[in-house]
Amino acid sequence: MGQRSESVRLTAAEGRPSVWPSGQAYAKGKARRRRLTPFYFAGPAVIFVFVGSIFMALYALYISFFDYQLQRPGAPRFVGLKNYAEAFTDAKLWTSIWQTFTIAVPALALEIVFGLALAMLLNRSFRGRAIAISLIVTPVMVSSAAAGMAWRLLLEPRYGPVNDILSRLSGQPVQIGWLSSVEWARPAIVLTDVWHMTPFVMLLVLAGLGSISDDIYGAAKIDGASGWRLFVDITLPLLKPILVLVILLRGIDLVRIFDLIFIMTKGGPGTITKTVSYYIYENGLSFFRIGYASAMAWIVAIFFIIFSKFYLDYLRKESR
Amino acid sequence: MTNHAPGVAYPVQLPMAPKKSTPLKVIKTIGFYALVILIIAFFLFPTLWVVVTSFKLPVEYFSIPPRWIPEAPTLDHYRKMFVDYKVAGAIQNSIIISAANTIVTLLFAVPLAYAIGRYRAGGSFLPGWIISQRMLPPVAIVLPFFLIFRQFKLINTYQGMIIAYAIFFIPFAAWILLGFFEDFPQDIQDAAMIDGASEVGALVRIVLPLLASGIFVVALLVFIFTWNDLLIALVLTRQETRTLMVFFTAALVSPTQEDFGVAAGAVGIGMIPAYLFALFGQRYLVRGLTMGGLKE
Repeated sequence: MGQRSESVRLTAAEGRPSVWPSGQAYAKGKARRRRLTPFYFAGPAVIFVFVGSIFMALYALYISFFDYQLQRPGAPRFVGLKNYAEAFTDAKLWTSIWQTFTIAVPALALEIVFGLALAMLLNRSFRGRAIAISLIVTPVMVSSAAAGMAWRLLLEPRYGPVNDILSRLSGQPVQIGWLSSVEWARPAIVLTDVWHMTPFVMLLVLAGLGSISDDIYGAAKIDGASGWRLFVDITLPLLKPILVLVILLRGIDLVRIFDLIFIMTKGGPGTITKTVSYYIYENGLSFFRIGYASAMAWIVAIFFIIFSKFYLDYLRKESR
Repeated sequence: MTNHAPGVAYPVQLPMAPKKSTPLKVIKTIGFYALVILIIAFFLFPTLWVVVTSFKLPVEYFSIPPRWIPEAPTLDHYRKMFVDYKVAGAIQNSIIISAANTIVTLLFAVPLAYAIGRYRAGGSFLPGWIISQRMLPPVAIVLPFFLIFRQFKLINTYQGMIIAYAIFFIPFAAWILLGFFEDFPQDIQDAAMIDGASEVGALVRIVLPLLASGIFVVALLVFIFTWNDLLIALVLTRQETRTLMVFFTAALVSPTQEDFGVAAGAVGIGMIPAYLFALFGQRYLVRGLTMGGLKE
């Protein structure tokens, strides 16, 4: 509408007699050009990204119907849904999904608890606050690969400082094989991820706390609330939107956890830290069972998408 | 109200300023600072340990109990790293691939964000697209890349890496940029266009310079996330194009080997961009890491 009146105004300004046919045609052409403008700008990116990723996804779907093994000579053989049938009965796949959650859930819980605690601690004005926050958030931008490498050095059973600190504190030699023992491998991964991403949670919660007005606390204190009750009854509910976002972002990343596993344990010892991403990677790119890995990737993708859709729907209902 | 709160509990008092007697206040302040310093130490310690280890001689990092401060610091590992392990090639690859991807991503993402911000074209679609892309197990995306790139001989090439990364990062970059374009007052651009500038001219000469700092931060984020990526690089590179992150996986084969210090040095180098950003770009972190899901 806006464009049309603009072009009519232009024709008038040019002093043309308002001969409608040509004026209309002019207006039409201009309007169409205006309507198409966004596509000139968005077009290249849309084509590149969408064609790229949709093509990739469909290609993965296509090869998931084939017995496609790279190291075996001969053309891939069409096998229909056989890969999917195999995946659904593959106990290792379901174990890997379970193991993913045994790492992701504790890590997420600890990151939220510590992130909240840190944010509450630092949510006051004190000298050096900006520097303190800058230093605390440094791990966040470090790559998972570097974080995993750093913690491998720290957790080294004999030469690493973690066991050394534990020995000094307990007064007796501690030689925990963090990454080589079945009991400690998962806690070690969780510890690394907590170090890596707790500051991220803290930053988000701090941003959320900053948007809570002091008046609310003032009013609550007049009503006689204090300390713990203030936190539970006022701060937490007001932080809910932030916590929802945190759980979503961290949850997504944690269920896909791969880099730390690849760097720190390669799924071991045994298969105790073999997460679902690592299991699929191993099938596809170590054993080169491409068709089967693609089928598993699709199953897991659909599983995650449904899971997060329920999560988002639930949150939407809760927040109303 | 309480029932709706997520089940999180922790035993720390709310930070309400205590207005009580002075000695107690002093003790509290000291305690507070001690706690903050302890926390900072925890988050800095791994990096410090890595850096210190890279300057230790093998005798020192293989000493029991561990020697915390090297008595005879050495640059030997750095010499080895560059001469024997050819880490320079990996660093160079990381820089080339990250920088090129940043440029390509912005070339596509800026016009996309502009179109959405100004014309509201498909704006509600973008966040959904990014979230669903993030939800997929990364392996699901990497596998077809691997196969198709094999066909087109793009494995072990810079072009292949850049195409793969750009597909990942264009929606991400566009989504953050969108916030900047939405906040930009359209009148300024309209005024330029009435004065006779074309739309592209107005965008390039008027709008983009005014948004330069925001675009620069997005560029830094894309650079660092590309630099940090492991999986895509692991699958799509070989010896000649491997990035620093892939170099890590080869450097520390077994912790009892000599290359302990080399690995530590490489990890330290790999952390440099992250530290630069955390120290100087920290105020943009929230927006970048939540993909604009939260505006400061």
